[in-house]
Amino acid sequence: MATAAYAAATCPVDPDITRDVICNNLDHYADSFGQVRWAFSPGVSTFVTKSYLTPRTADVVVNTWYQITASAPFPLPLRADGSGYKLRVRLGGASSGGHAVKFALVIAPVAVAPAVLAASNTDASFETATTTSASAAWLTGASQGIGAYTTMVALDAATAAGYVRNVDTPVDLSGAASAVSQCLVSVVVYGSTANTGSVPRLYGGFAAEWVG
Amino acid sequence: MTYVPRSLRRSEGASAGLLVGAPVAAATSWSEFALGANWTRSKGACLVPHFSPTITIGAGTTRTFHFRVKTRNVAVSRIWGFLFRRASVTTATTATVRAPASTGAAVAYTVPNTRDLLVPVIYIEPVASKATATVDLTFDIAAAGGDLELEGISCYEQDRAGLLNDTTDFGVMIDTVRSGEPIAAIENQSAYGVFRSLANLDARRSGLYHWSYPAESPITRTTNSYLAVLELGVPVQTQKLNTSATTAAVKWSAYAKVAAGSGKVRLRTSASSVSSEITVTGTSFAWQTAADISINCDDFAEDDGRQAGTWDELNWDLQGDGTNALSVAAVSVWVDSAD
Repeated sequence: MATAAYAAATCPVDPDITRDVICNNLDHYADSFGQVRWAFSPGVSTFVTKSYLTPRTADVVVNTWYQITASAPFPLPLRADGSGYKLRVRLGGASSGGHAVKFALVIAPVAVAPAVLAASNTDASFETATTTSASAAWLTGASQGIGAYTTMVALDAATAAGYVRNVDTPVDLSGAASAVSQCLVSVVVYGSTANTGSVPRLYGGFAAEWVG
Repeated sequence: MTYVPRSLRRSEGASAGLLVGAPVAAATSWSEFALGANWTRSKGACLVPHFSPTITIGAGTTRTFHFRVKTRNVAVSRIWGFLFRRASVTTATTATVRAPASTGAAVAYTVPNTRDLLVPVIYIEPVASKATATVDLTFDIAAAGGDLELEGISCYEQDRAGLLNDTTDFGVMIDTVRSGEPIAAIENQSAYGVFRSLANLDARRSGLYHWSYPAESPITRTTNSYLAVLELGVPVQTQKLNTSATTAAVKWSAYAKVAAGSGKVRLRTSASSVSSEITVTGTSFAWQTAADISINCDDFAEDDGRQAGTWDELNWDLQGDGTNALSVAAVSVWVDSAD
């Protein structure tokens, strides 16, 4: 990024250079700003005591979603049209006993996530194909809305607006508190089984913001 | 000093708002540029993407975690997120967190007794000074009452509510880019303010991957052959820095030690074919000298941004010297350079 296009107060500003420098650089910075929000793979059993996460419900009912894990809330960047940056996602799992299991991922506040999952017609919800394998593997899947994204979830402008909250934060290092408006969401992951003889095991997960 | 509020949404500068041969005074163009610069600068970076160490912290014990990452100089506070479970449904359990470890303000959390719905908790760490620096980010957790299951850790720099119009925050004063305002070469104002903000912009995707275990109970390997640590390689991808780039440089390091002799930590990626080794010889835990690697970067030609539509997966391996144990408590991958 060069400032030569505006070298001094007396220099004329060439509109063409200005367009290129400002538009391209600023938009590129904002386009590529997206952060990694979830990167999870615990480790093999040689090194760690638990290589996967499972639902903790004592009495599992078949074909019912149970929460496996959830990220802490994070401020999803919003595009100019109010929609959220998409999240590039991936889920890895296996079945404990050879029966069909599947996984779902929802981008929403934790308390709202069950309703989003139940709606099952939104790109904020991602569902994997079933697996019966006992070996850990990354799974294919798709978002459940009209986008049917195979590697992403998305939050539309109206939904994102409903998740916006004001959070107090210092204005500077020693400043008083001021409210910052943020679209606060979590990545919430669920598992489901077709047979009570197996539980879904979550071996890996990934979610990274992408301007889309 | 003036405080410049940030906008909730990003703006998108339109090149059509600036016409060749015409004055660059259109309110829509300059305002969008200033708002865009302020928005991008004020957004906080994610330092530690959420991950699950899947460990149990025994009642009455304290565990310390380390992360290597490069901060951004606009942040004034960090938000830690934790996901706790009780190991026992019936035993009341408290988790007390301090960030930084040992010196941070202690905050105690009552761990809910439900085992079905996990609700993350938040810890706010004030930042001592605004600085871009590679740091050892730490926290500790003490469990009391019963055993504590730690199922989630994350940390991000809190968004700024606004920016100061100084030479650290580089906030651009919006009222100086309105239609009819003169174009001026004054710090934090007008076109010059936008240029200065851009020239000093740091919009890094700071934390790409972290794996951290308590320094008090690290993972170890003595055998003189590599063994992969992860069951599934984790996707990893960094930002695109120029038009033709398909990869970009990032750094990685390990928080490790050996009992004696030497050990090795190796990091591998799939699509970008990285194989990078760090040799550990120190007998006290320390971050090893960071190594540079080139991993896949964003691909704007792809709908989901993956380089050529492919996941670049990261895994890492441990190896002792056959006699002495190598101990590793953390591995971090982060973006060091903004351009």
